[in-house]
Amino acid sequence: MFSNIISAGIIGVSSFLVQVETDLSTGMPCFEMVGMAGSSVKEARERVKVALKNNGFHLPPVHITVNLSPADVRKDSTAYDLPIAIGLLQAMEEIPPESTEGTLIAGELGLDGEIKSVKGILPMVMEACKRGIRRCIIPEANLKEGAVVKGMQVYGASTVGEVLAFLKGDPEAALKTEQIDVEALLQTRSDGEDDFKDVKGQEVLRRVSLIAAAGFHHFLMIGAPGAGKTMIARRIPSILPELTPEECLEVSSVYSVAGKLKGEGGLVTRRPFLSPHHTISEKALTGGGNVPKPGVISLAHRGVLFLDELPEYKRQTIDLLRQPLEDKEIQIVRMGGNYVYPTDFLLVCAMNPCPCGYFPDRNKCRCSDNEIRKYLGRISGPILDRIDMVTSAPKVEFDQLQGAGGGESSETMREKIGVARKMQKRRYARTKIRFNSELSAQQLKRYCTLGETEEKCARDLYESMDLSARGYHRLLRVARTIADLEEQEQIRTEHLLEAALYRRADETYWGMQ
Amino acid sequence: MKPIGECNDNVYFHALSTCFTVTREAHIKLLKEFGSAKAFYEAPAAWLKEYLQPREIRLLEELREKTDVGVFYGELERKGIRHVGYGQKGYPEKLLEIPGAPLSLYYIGDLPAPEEPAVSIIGARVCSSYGKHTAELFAERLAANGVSVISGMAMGIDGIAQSAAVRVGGKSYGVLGCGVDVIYPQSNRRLYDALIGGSGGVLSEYPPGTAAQPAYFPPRNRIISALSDILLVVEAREKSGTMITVDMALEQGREIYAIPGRIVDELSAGCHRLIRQGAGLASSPADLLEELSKKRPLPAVDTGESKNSFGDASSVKAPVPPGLTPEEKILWSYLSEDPKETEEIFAEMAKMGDHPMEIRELMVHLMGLYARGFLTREEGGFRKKT
Ligand SMILES: [Zn+2]
Repeated sequence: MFSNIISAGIIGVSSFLVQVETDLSTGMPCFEMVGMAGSSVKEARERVKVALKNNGFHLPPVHITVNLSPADVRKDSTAYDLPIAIGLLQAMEEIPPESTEGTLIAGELGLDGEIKSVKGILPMVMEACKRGIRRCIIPEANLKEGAVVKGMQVYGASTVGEVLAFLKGDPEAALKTEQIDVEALLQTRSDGEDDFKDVKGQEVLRRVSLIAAAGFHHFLMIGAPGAGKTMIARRIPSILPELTPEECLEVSSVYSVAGKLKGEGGLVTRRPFLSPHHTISEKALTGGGNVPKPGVISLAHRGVLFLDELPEYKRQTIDLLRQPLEDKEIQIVRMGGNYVYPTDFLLVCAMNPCPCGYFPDRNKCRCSDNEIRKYLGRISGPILDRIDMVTSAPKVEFDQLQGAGGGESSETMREKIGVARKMQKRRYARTKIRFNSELSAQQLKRYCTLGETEEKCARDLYESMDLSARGYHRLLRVARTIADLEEQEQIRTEHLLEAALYRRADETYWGMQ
Repeated sequence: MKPIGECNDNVYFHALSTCFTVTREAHIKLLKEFGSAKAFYEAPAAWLKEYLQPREIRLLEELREKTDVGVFYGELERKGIRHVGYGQKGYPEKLLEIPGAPLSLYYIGDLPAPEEPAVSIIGARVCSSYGKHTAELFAERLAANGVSVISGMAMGIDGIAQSAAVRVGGKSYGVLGCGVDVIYPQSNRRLYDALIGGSGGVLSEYPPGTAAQPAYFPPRNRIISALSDILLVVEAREKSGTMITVDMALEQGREIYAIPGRIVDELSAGCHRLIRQGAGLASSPADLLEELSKKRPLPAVDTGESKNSFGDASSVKAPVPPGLTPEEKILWSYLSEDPKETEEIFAEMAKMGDHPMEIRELMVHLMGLYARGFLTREEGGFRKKT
């Protein structure tokens, strides 16, 4: 007898449908699995056999063949356990053939028949929906992530027995089902999040954060320990525009594939903030492995990647960020598939000004110029090259005074950023550009035209700061964003001057001769 | 003092220095007793035993056996290194008097001329921004007024002061703790090139090729102080090598000046102690120029630019630049000759409360002043340009 069950596989963060075909024919009793099955699929044979036995079904002594098609894509997931088991039961005529029609089935089996959660349910259900499938049976633990896909009837099952009863049409056997509205989910903002209103002082860092979030400019903070660099970085997600439903599904898909939606139940509804320690391995940072998994840079997609103590990271590790920063995605090539993970994150870095952290306070710091130079030199040029703003974060004892301007809330800042984002959206409506930080040298000429006074100011700055051409371009991009924050189409002198303040790397820290 | 020995005695001085490296008083004493370096060099080992270390005698005997001193001396010339022995023509008079005067001086470029007023500027190798700028300020203005700057070409204050003197077209001499053909530290290569290229010179008592060694640095400090009329200490911790140099200078009867700092700065503690013990308080380059002119009239300074930009040696404060807007004037009053970060200025203005500015405005005004060249920017923030 023959059966055909629909399931799905994952490559990168995208999914593809898989037909699980089961054939029972007379011949030497055996259980064969074909169709580029990875080791975890081959193990499915044993799990399925035992799980079915423990639920009262013994495999008939016949020649069993299970084929996973398409056969040219490598499959390495435990999600095929359940569709294989159901396919067998159907081929054994325990389940009516029409009961699984147009139904996607995915789930891992325990030896007792329990259904365990699997990675990548969200992209699987999304892909199934796109392909016209309207019903899914998935692990109950993954129910919430499947339930967000509109126009899909999603059932969550916890044992193979439940599924069997359900497909047999047993009126008593109802599987759990749920519908979640993404937009409504996104609107419920939980309290107690990190908010900029709790930051006292650090007006310069606050301003830099605002500009960075508005124009998507990567930035670096240099300052003594305790200056509040981490506190600021943690709050950047709170001023980035809220995730759109599309972005939410995108981010959640990455987390789904990484198996990190577990426990949360629903989706990733807040912009991610990832702060990997400097001892992180290359693989954990960028993703990879025999069966590739998304790395930290992909988990930070649409959010913030914070690298504290930047010079402590291995140079090779940091250099790995170059391509993802440029392409906004990372490709991992493996036999049987090209894995692509998105990496569109805002890079926020922090570092001490010297090995001990207290330079230029000579009562505390005795690092020599050479030691400081060496310390700064650990940061690779290519990464500095992608950082638009560098600012110092001194530790300032701040008197809490009225009129000191501190304590602006994240919400107020988000509104200001919204204005600048709108300006950019309108200006770049017919282009691929989304943010000022993406402007190429050519595009700068077009979108950052300067008047006569401004031209002179820019030239003065260019000369007095001894900027490189790249440094000058970054200055212009940042000035563009500052003007956008004030809803001004024309870049003015004051915008250039302020932008120049964030270009200190060129002349002080990395200009030390 | 009459030159000791014959005209070509220098070749023997070189040979002797090669064996001894660091000159001790015993060497000079022997030299005077023998009457010439040649006699000293050729003296039987038995005569020397009582005065020299066995190692020195062994080296001397080896050298005598293997080497033709004339050929040996010729190698110096081939390397472009000049040399003068103790008391020979061209040997600086200021050095003759000091205890432990060097047997030989090797140099590239020039040695300071006897009539040249000279100040040695010394201080911490790891200095603060304040130390850096005061060292520059004093060196520039002294140099522009025809005073040579002498120092050890080390990292920190030494190199900073010497570079500043060279920058304004003045003269500077580097006394090295290694051979004059060895550049140490490498980061001062540019300064080294300037010194040997017409802006003064580098000199050392150690034979060419001698590598820098910790033991060689303290002895060379006695030459630094001896060659100068005044020793100026810019920044020094209470216990530091700089203070040892000061002791040597006192022994040699040199004037000591120290630049005061803030009482909370450890790097100024050494200077404060010196002032308490009677060193001159250097509050401006004019203080030193006045002291120098007591000894002899200072050379006429080149007219023109250097006079204009450095003529007023009495002021170390930046003047209020012309054409400031009212906001910029307020901001100016919050700035100083010490660097301040934007955040610090903002906090101070907020604290005073008289003219609160938005951070954005503050940044624009700061950068406006900067772009017009009234401020400089460094690791600690913005600073008035002096
Ligand atoms: Zn330090």
